[in-house]
Amino acid sequence: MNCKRVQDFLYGCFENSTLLERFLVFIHLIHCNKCSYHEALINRSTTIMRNEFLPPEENNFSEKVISMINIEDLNAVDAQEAPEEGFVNDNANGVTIGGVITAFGTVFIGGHLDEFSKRFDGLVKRLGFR
Amino acid sequence: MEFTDEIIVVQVLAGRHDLYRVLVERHERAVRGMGLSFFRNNDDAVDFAQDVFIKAFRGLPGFKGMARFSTWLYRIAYTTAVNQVNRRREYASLADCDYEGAYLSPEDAHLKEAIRQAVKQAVSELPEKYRICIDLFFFYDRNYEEIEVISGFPVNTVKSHVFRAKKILREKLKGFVEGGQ
Repeated sequence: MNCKRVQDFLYGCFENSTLLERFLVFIHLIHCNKCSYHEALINRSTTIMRNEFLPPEENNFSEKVISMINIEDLNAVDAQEAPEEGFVNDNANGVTIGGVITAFGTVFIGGHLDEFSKRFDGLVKRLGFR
Repeated sequence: MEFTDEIIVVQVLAGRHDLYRVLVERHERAVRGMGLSFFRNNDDAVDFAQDVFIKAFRGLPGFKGMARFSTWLYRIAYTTAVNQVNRRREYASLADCDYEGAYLSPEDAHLKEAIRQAVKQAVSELPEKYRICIDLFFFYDRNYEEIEVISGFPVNTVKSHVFRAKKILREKLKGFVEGGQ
């Protein structure tokens, strides 16, 4: 493998390199100072790219995020413990409707007791129990 | 021993929410960097990064480990940034931003400048929407497939843009080799 091909490899011109190619490059780098220098330069450049271009850390950033998450967690727990929205109203409506029906039924039966007694007597006679 | 992001995710999902802090600390700079590229303002970038980390926390049960956690996180960051209605300015590469970084030797400082020039040139030749591909490859350490996952651009499109950027970088680094020999 010649220097040009090795440098093409190092600068990423070969997108899909085989194991053999990588091995040959490795062998070449052992004895070629010029290509080793290229390799060292690329490695240093890569380190600079990964570390020197991102902004510096922001003070207390993670604290802020974690405290916001904790507040959300607490709200979620409160929401779970509180009765579901609508439950209280639905229950109150049910009790009210039930009370009204019961009261109406009581008044209706009370107001028709005589009539019910007569009908019951008639029914007993018709069936021959008396 | 340092645990991988994926192991920490499993622990967080098991109820150890405090460990999410480790993930935030590891990726804060990258997510905020993306925010700076889209919003060009540190306050907006900080708000954006908080939003992204909270979204990611909520969506953590949906992380299936098909990609690296960081790639999954950057995908959330990218879509959040693209969909933000208050994004008024076009994407600026990290190469355009200048921060007070750690001390660099004169040679490394020179190398950093060469990288900056190469990336700026490569980015300036691209339509705005594809610029992030170059940053993701060079500064966020993503491969072509990961860039496809994050940005949704076809892998061959990503490859061709990055290939051109690599060629420019090679040209810029030539001076170092000639000067260094």
